[in-house]
Amino acid sequence: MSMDSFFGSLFDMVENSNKEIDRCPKCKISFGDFQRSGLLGCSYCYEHFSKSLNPTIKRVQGGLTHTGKIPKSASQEVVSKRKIDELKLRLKDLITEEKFEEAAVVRDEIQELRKSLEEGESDAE
Amino acid sequence: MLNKESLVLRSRIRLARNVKTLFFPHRLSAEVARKLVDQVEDAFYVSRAMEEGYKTHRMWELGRTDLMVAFEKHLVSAKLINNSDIAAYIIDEKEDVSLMINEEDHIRLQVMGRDLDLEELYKKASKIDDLLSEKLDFAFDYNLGYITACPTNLGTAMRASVMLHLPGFTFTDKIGYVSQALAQMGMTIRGIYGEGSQAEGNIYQISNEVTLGMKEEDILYNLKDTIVKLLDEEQDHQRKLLNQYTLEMEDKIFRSMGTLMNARLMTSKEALYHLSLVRMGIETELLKDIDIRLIDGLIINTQPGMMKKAYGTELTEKERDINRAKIIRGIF
Repeated sequence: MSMDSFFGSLFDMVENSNKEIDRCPKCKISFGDFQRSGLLGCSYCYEHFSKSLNPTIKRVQGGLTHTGKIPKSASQEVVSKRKIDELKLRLKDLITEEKFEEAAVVRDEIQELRKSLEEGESDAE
Repeated sequence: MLNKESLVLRSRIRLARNVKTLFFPHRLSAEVARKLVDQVEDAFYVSRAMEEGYKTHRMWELGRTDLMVAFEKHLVSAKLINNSDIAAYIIDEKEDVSLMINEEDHIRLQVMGRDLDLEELYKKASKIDDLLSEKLDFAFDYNLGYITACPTNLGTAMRASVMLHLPGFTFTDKIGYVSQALAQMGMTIRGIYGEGSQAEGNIYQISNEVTLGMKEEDILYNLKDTIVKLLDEEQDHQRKLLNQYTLEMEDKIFRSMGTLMNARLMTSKEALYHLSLVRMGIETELLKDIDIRLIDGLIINTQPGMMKKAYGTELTEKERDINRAKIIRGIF
C-alpha cells in the first residue's frame, strides 16, 4: 500500500468537513494537503492539526510519548521534565519491590525537581 | 558454513532533523532552501579535520551520471535526487557518513557500516547530531520528540537498516512469512534500493518501522536481536537446500560461477542473479578462496550508473553489457 493511500484510508474516518478550509496559520497547508502528500508543511502543523493527527500518529507508531534522545540544546525545562518522568517510573518499580526507604528518596527528588520547574516558570512570567 | 555475519552486506543508521523556524523542504522557496545548505555547512565544518575529511556536493551543480552513482552507492536517496534543484549532500572520503540536505526533512544524517554493530553506528551519528545542534535549533516536542515532515518518522526520527543476503528464504519461498512476522514486531523488509524496489539478487533491507515511544538503544537492540535469529534461520534454509538438493544446488552455483567467468555479454539483472548464487556458494563454503567483499563490490560496481561513470555516458546498452562482463571476468 502506498503512503498516500495508507493515510488516505486512515483519514477517511476522520470527520473533518473543513479539511480544505482549515489551514495551518504558519505554512498555510490544509489537512487535505497532508492527506494527499503524507507530509506536513512545518513543525507548527503538529500543534494546529493535533486533534485530527494524534489518533493517526498513535495508530501508526503505537504510542504518543517520546522516550529517546533529547537535543543537546534542549531547555532546562525539557531536561527536568524528562528526569521527572524517569524517576516516576523508578518510583513505581521501587514500590512494587517494597523498597520503601529508597522510594522515599526518589519521591523527594521528584518533588525537588517539580519545585524548581515551577520556579522556572514563574521566573519566565 | 561461514559465520552468519557474512550474510550482512551493509548496515546504516539514519537520523532526520529539521530546523525549527523553517518550513519543511517541500514548502521552502529555492532561495531559502539553498541558503539552508550554507547554514548546515556552517554548523558542520567547525574544524580543519572536518574540512579536510568531508566534501559538500550541491546537486544542482552535478550531472545526471554523478547523481546515479551516488544513488547506487546508497549515499543518497531517490527523493534527494528528485529535489536536485535545492538538495545537497556532505560526504566523507570513505563514504561512511553522508548528510543529505533538503530531502523530505531538512537533514537526513546517515552513518554506514559493514556489520551488525548498530550501537557503534548510532553513537557516531549521535555525535554528529550533537555537533549540528550547537548551531542549528532543531524542532523538538516534549511528547512527539524530533519533529519530521512525515508522522511515520517522529520521535527518535531514527531509521536503522541492515542489508542482508537471504537466498535461503527466497528459494524456499518464505520471504512473505518473514515480512508478516517483522510487521508484527514494528519492522519492515524491502528490496535492495529501498521503498518499492525489487529484491534483486536476493538482497533485502530490514529496518525499524516504529520510531516513537521507544528509546534508540531499545530499537537497535530489538532489530539486531531479530536479525540474528533470522540469519540463523537463513543458514538453516541454506543447509537444508544443500542437503536435500545437493546436485541441483551445486549445479546452479557452479553454473553461475562459469557464467561469471566466461560470459561476454551481461545485463545488470543477470549479474545480480549469478553474483547472488556465487555469494551463496561462498557462504556455504562450497566455493573457497573467493573474497566475499569482492562479490559485494561487484554487486555495486556493475549497476548501470556505475558503468556509465566508469565508461562514459555515450556507451550503448550493448557496449555496457560487454564491459560489465569484462569487469566481472577480470575479478574471477
